[in-house]
Amino acid sequence: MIATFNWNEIFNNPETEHTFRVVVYTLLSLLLLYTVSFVASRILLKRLSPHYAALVRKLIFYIGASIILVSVMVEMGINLTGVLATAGVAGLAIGFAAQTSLSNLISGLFLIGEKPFQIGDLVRVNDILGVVESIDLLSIKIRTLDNLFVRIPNEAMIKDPVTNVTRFPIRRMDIEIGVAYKEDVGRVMEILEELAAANPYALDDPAPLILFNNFGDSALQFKFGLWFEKSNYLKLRNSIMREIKERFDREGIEIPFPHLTLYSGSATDPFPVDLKDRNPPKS
Amino acid sequence: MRSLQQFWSMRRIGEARVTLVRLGPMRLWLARAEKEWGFASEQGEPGAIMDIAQVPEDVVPDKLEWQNTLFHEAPREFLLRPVTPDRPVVIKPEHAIQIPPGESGRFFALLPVFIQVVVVMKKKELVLGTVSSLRPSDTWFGTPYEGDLAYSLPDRASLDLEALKPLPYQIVTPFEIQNKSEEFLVFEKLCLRPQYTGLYSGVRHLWSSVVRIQHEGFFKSTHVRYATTQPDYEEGLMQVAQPLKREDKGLHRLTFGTSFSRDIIFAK
Repeated sequence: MIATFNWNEIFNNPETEHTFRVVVYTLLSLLLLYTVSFVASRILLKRLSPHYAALVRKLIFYIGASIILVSVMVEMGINLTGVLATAGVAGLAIGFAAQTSLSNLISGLFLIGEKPFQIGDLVRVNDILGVVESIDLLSIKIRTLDNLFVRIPNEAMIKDPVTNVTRFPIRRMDIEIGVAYKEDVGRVMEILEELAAANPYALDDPAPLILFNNFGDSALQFKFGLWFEKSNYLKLRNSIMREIKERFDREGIEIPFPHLTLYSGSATDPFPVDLKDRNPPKS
Repeated sequence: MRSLQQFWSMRRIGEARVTLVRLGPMRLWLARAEKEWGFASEQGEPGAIMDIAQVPEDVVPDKLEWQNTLFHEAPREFLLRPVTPDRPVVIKPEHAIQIPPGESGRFFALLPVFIQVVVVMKKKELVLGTVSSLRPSDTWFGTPYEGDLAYSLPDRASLDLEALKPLPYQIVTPFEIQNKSEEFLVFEKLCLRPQYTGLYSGVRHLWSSVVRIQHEGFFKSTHVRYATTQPDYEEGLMQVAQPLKREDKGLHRLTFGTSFSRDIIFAK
């Protein structure tokens, strides 16, 4: 026998009608919430990166779902006082247990607001250098240059200094160069200027920095700073290092090894050496 | 070759043949097989050389990086089309120049031409690639936070065209600066956007259309305009390339002013 529904009986029953009303209300609210979060994320996509827009959408949805849940519970006649009291105690316990996660979550919200970096940026956190793959509520994910996956909690990103290597379109590459004390400082600086002008990846503006930095222990120390467009790092590095070496070799400019000169007390007297028997007796 | 204008005409290349194109420092090698076209380039010393010749295969250097394109049947006809550099160029005068109020100055700058290798198949043109006659150095126009990656020109802008002695691989770009303000102007540098200029071929070198700059005051605005007509410094010019982009002359410009107002820097 096929059972048939008696709709009149169903809707005339207050309890059933109430339950039906709550179900319809829940479904319509969820549909509205989904629509609102979807539209909000579309609008935010014009101002934020896709990742941040997706995070905000999730936040809107979870907060909205919580509100709907509470209002459904009220509608169902559930006494919230007891629930809240229990939730309060449970929340305290969970809070102690989930301190780190909460800290990461709150740090994540700060990171979303501050935007110190975006997906695709090259960042350095302590000794980790890599490309930001995703920015999530609890952590960020980085892919290092040798293709390792690193998960960094958001709390660490807030507490530690983070260097965004690719934030600005141009950067300066500083090369420390030491030349022997006997070399002509003016000539070395002229050669470095010529090398900078001749290298196509070194920007003419801003002008390169050529600084006679220090009288080192083993060499005269120069700082050679070349500006470059951020995507040309490897091309500039490889080409300029080779060009410096080749040009210095051609000009006879010595790049000394670290060395220590011993004096016997006078710069001119030879260091005394006492030569013993050339053929020591075999033991 | 007597005239640079002949350089841009259509040519044919036989199968298993190599053509060497020399224009200033550029050495462009073109090769065609039954189903393949290839080209490679290298840079030599800048000079006035300008020729195209078929050469034996054994003179082709070994270490070239070839760019090859496959065809069902490789077309025989090709042409070389001059185009402007693919980035903005930064121009500086050879020495500081003051322009009094109400006066104007006309300058000339030399840009290296870029060459498109174009093959013609079934009356349609196909660009195989673009090479630069001279690889200029990179530079930055703007602040360390934002700006444009540009080319830096090896030659400074000059008031005297004869003093520049343009070579066949160089585009002479005339630009005029009008000082409509009440202060003296010292022209420091200009960011020129060559994609807004057309190209014209003369007998010995190329020309671009004129660039006009009007300065109305440091608290008003500076307008940079790219003309669309050919310059009148040489007779018998032949247009060889249209501007790649056109300036917006509509409501946007009237409302917001020129988008090039930051392209010229005057020392204060």
